[in-house]
Amino acid sequence: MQFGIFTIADITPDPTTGRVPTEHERLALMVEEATLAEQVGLDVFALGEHHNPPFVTSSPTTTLAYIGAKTREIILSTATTLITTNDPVKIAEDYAMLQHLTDGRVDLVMGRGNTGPVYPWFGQDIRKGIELAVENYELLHRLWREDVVNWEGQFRTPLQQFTSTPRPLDGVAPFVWHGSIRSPQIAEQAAYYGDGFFHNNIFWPITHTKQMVQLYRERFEHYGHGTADQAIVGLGGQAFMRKNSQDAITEFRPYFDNAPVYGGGPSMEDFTRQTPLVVGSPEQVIERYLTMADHVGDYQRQLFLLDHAGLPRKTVLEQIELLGTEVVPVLRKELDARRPATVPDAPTHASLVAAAEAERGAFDATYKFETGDNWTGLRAEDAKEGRR
Amino acid sequence: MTTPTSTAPDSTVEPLRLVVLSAGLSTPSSTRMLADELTRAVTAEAGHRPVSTVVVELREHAHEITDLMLTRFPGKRLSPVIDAVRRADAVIAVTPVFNIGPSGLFKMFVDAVDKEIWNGRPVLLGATAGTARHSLAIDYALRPMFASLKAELAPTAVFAASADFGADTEGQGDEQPLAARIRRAARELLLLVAGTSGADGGDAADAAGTPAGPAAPARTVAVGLDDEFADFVPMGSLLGR
Repeated sequence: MQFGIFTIADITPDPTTGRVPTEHERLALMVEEATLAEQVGLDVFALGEHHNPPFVTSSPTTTLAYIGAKTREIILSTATTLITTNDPVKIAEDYAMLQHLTDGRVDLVMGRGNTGPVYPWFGQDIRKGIELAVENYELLHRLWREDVVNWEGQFRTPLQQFTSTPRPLDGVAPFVWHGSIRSPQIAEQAAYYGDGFFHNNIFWPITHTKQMVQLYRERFEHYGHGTADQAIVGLGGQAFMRKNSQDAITEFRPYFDNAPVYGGGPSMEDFTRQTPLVVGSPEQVIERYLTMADHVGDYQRQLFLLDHAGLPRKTVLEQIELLGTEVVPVLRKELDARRPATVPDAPTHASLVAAAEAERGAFDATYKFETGDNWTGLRAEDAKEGRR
Repeated sequence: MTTPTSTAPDSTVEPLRLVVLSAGLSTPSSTRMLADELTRAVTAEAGHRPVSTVVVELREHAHEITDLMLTRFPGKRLSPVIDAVRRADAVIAVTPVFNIGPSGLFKMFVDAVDKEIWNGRPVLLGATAGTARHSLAIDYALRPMFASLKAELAPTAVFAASADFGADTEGQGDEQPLAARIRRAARELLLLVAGTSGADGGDAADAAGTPAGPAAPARTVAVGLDDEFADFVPMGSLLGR
């Protein structure tokens, strides 16, 4: 099982001091978080994408490539990549590039985005969110699997004889998760392709999460990718920890009460009962997150949000350290032990390469595109229809 | 029309599920009194069809309604209220008029729940205020809101000023006594119920066997999902294949 952290890189004033980090400080902290996450044994660092203040993550591949150069093992992922407003061609290029530069340590979580004006800023219509996610991903999926793509759709200019470069590393596309909180169509989309489904349940009751995951699992089996319990599921999580649970409660309360996402709403006590947020000792976090699989089945990835609501740098780094050293070793051991052998781990580049090689033989480093010509373009008479 | 009380409810007939939302703040409140009168009238006019009624004082859910606005998921006490509206054959919604509109609590409830739950659902509107000068609030504030939510509104909405509760004979207070308007509105609501068969499409047609009303999206998977996921569309349709 994979454990990690995800961040939306919000710039929020620290409610206890009023201090607001600069964009530069926030970006530097993000890099520090990722490198620390690797040092304390976490498997995944995932970065959100936003195109509006108070967030500073408009360019995830730049950030992830930089982090990739400073780390060796950790998987670089997204939370989420905006499949609606980004050009799927650019996603195909950028993440294949990142995949090469980091030796395959890349996967993506697709999302539609939750900020209305981002759609018009990028020339799209929010009312077409699902249609955009469906069409754009269908194109992205082909661009990573077919060397030459002819394509026409509703939302972007048509492509004739287009080759997205670089081709995915070892001929294997980055693994994709689809993230959605409450759109069953997205669970359906993930199931259709046999991709992963990520439910960012941090602000939702588990009863809700359970239904979305159940739908995804059932449809995953329906589309013939394996049994329902073999579907690839990821969950969000949220915690604030101190050795002594009362210290955690006292210290986190002002951050909770003023957090942009839930301030002014339910009390921290209600919210911790209703959602996966745990404010307490590492043991309490362990206890709570050991129960998630009882609701959604054995799953493959658990990410935690630890750095929002204006928490200062030192505190954030302490949280990552506690997660990596005290919480995850126990969760990993217990959750791996309860998972039946027939339920797979989350795909990695290595496992995807092994699966591809089993199917079509070893990838030939001298491989040329379907056109037989890597360099000089196409002759019209050689053009083949892209395979589906 | 038969005298309402002359027909005993028939226990073999599937009951009409009626949800009554009352947004009054005081106890006792005239809003609740109007809601109760409307409920009694609907029950009486339903004749042989039994009515199972859920009465909701929104005041008791004020905190969770605010939380729902902020978190988008309902708390433990509010959740069954929303489910009841979702399953209701008809809704009676009564609010006090504050500052020439519905009470903020009433509006927030409507704003906080999924708007799909009103689609095609028969709704009878009621409002109360100190004087009859506020009576148009129903027509310029409440009716457009529910029209936009695509509820099936009873043509007669019932407004009760304080004086209406004393003036129950012709010639006093209003030209139509409150009791007469309540009876007419109740009949209209039942006509709407007869013309629909449960707006969520997932329930049996009403006991009288009237044909199904507005069609809801067909559910193509049966995995025990909450109705909030009823907009599921299989991938083949999504890809346009």
